[in-house]
Amino acid sequence: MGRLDEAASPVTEMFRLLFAFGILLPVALHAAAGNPGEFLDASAGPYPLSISVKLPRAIPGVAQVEIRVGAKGVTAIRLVGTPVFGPGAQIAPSQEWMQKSGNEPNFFTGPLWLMAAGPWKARVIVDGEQGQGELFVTVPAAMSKPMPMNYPLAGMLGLLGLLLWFGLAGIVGTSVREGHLTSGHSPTRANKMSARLGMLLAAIALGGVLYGANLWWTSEAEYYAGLVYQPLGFEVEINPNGNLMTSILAKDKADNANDLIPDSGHFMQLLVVSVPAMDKMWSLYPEMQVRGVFNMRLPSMDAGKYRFYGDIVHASGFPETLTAELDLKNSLRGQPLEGDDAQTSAPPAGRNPEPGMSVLGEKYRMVMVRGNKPVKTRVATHFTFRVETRAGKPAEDLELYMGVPGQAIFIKNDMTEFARVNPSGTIPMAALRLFALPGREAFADRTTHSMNMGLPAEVVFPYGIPSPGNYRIFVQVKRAGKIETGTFDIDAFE
Amino acid sequence: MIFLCGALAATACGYLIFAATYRRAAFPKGIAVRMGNFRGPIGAFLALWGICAMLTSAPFDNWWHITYGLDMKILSIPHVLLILGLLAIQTGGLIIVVAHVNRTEIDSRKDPVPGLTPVSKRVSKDWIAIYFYFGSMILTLLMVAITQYTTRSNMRDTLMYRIVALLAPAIFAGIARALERNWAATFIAAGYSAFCLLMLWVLPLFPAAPAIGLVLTNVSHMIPLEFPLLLIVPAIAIDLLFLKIKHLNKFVLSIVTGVAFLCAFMFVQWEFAGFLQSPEARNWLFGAHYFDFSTFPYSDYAQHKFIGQGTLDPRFNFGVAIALTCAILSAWVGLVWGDWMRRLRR
Repeated sequence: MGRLDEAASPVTEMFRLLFAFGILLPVALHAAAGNPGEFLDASAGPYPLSISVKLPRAIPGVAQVEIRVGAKGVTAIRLVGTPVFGPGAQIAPSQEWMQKSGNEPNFFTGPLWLMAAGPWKARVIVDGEQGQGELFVTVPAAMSKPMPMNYPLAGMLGLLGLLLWFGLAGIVGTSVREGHLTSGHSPTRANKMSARLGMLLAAIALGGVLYGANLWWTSEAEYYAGLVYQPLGFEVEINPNGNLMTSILAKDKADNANDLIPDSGHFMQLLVVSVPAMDKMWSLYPEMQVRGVFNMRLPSMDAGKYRFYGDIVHASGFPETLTAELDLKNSLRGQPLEGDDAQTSAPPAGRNPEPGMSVLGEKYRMVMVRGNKPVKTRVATHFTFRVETRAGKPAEDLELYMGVPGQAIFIKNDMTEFARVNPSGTIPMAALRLFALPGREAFADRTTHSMNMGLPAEVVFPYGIPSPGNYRIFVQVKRAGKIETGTFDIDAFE
Repeated sequence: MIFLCGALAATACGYLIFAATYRRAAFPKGIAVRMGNFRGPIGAFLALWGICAMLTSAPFDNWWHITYGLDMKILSIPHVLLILGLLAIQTGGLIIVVAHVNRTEIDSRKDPVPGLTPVSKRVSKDWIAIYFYFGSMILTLLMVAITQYTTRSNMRDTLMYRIVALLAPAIFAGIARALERNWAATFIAAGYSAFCLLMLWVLPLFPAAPAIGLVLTNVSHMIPLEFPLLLIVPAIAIDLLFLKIKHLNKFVLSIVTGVAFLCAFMFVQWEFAGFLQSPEARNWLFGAHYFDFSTFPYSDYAQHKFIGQGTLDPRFNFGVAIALTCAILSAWVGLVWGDWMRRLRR
């Protein structure tokens, strides 16, 4: 099950150590595939677009695409969705003309039909005064766990079902009682008795039909449950020397971890956060030793519970977030962080005295420009963070961090939601680059700079909070060669 | 469009029930039954029940799509409820006609003017045409509902014959039994065939392109259903039998009808399937070259191959026996239904 240092060879010893230092169990995850929506800021030729894709819970299903254009003169936007690979990737359906909002001429909405699970790409074609522009957006289509029917609908359907049941039994009874009577005749006592018997038999027969339908429904539900998106398994082990080993476990032989591509230079972006307080966070980038197996030397960590989020991207552009949880029984003496690794400590989530501001060392701070005002869920929101001196002067020495101005990690306090967002949005840079048009990295136009130095002091992350509740946001930027992490808290409402 | 048809039926049947309930003096006598506080023809109540079933299926189907995905098949639970609703509307219309014909033709014989020889009246041909229309639409609805089991590739698999045998004999026997009209089964099978052929020959004339993704086959025009099943042949066989032996015991008649149906249908359809899979059928007349956009180009269906092993299937005899049982049971149900309709007055 686990790889320990060589001294701990006996099995019993291995288990003892594993429990002493902690071993992770794979837990239910909220993967990048399976998130309710995508958000992207990108350019289609001369037109800057802010795109939001609300994904359906079930596949085949219809995603709702909303595009807000940051330039005037756009006359029409068309959408074409095709799978990234497979037989359906070769032939495109007819283009879907997005609907222009009557109130807001730069706002367009339209459906994107996702007719099979897996990675899809949407071609967005923009027509306007400055000519035509286009870009591709990758969309992960994944079946979510079916939600039970809500009570009002269940109640309404139940009442209608009863109406149908008694209605048909009543029709049978009536027809037995009077259906054959010629004009001027009234039903006899025998007719009425027969009618009652007919109604009873009809009701029993309908009960049998309902029972059969229920068996059918159960069988269908089991079939669909088998289609629900299951991420790759994830195991994390820490040995007594502080070596972290994470393993991606393939679901089956055909679906494994052999097709990973690096995102921002890393095959896995691992986030470790203490739970439930989220007062400590590490952003780590373990090396892939063999396919699907990563390891690294951990920094020092206190004993406690931790949750691990491993972000990976498949060759098709299909992103996954793998999660696991660890109960570290003893504190760990590790080694200093290096490279892109970073860590931070903050007040516990929900008890942050300044949820809209985070202190960065002695001289700087990071500010959430919108403050910590509650945010509406499932609405594309631009979260802007500014790095400034304690006196309020914008920082002038921000640098690119893994090729982008920064990254933001949104985690719901109850751990049911997780998103890693870059300044382009929720789609990993690796997935965006897969379908970037030759010579034009549309997503990069607005987010990255060719020069390392002199980045603006503000970093913007487009994202839509998926569900109501309290969220912790970790924002990471690089300033003067050092990775800085700001910690914020925000409430989201329906 | 489906719900527009439901709305039309609701309006007509709602009016009948309203008139029978609240304008009893002006409403013809001996037509209505009582259902709670309402009165009206049984067919109107049944059609209204069908509309309720359709309306129930709509939110149920919507929830189904959101929860389990947009099903690409006809037979799902909400769709079956919708089909039952449509079936109830059509059957409601049918029995309104049957009741009228029975009142006119049978009751007139029993209630002659004193002193005169009974004269049997006949309803106008329009009523009978409507009767056959309803019968053919019921048959069409059921055949469309089972389309996924009756494609060309399925035509040498006994599963198709089992499913068709479960449904078609009941319709043929019931419709032929209810009214004293010869060639009833043939008429409704002809109606079904004409409807399908019309679709087959007309729809491809309209240009069309797939509007949604996962396009596996290029399509440039509308794609119709396949060439109709040759139900006309067993229908003729049943009609011929009914000309000679319809007064037989119901049990015996259902056996004879079921056997006749399956033998006639299986023989002609099995042979015709070979032709449909041949290059000679890939033209506008037979339409074996039409494939919808979701047809996988390397599937047996697209390759004009049959699924299963045909007569070499070790379960072939068992499958035929089941199909025969289904046909006999179905014919018996049809005869019972037909007898019930023969007695219907309201």
